[in-house]
Amino acid sequence: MVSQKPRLGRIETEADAELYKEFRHLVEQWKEDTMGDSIGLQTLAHPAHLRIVAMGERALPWILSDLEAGGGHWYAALEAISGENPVGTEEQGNGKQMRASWLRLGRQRGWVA
Amino acid sequence: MPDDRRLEHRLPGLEDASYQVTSRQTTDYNCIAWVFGDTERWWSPVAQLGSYWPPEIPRSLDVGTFIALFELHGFEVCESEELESDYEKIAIFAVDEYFTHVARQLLDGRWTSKLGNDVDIEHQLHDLIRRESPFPQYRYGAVAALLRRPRPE
Repeated sequence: MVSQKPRLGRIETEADAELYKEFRHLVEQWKEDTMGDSIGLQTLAHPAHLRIVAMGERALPWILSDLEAGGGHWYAALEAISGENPVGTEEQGNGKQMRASWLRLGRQRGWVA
Repeated sequence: MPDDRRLEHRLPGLEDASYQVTSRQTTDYNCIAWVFGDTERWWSPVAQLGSYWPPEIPRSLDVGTFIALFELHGFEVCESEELESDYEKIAIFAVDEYFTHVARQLLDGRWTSKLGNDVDIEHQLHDLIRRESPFPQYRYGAVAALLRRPRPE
């Protein structure tokens, strides 16, 4: 499980700003390149998605913020980074419910910026 | 780039075609869900995505698996894409026997598609594939199977 850290999600240094800029660039690239993906395989395997996962817990608040704004298929990245999955079997596939479950967990864990 | 030009860039077969965008862009549902009129769930055999998939159907991407999925919901394989007013028809697209997309026929004989994470459109069936897309995820290949089921009374 990822521990709660006071600095998580905050942009306080130049290095934070650079990392956030890279995150936004990767998100745009990922969404643009997978817009037509009907099944999700390309979405999961896209290099930008994998690089965001590799950012680790620093990316959690930014991912949850994008998810809250209606951004899409973040569930594999969230689970890979946090080691948790709050989505119940009945919620599988339902974006609104999955989003709500992840945001609830994010608030509990202090990942929401 | 304006939305219609953006879409035509991705699907060049739409460039000189009569098509209509009929929804906003959303990741809430995909083409499989749209066949069933489900606008709340993303249906896919790819479990890691957090997708919905019926437990009776194996998690595989071959066309046969998708035929089984639609047969589970009352469809049967048919030969013709022509409109038969008593039947609701769908067309499965594939590349090398692997599912890429599914479209549903409307009452007027045109077709409706949810394009992955993109918008819904109404279109002629073959406008999606008559020119190859420069974007791999919009390369739907060819119509691999047609299915139909009786329209509800």
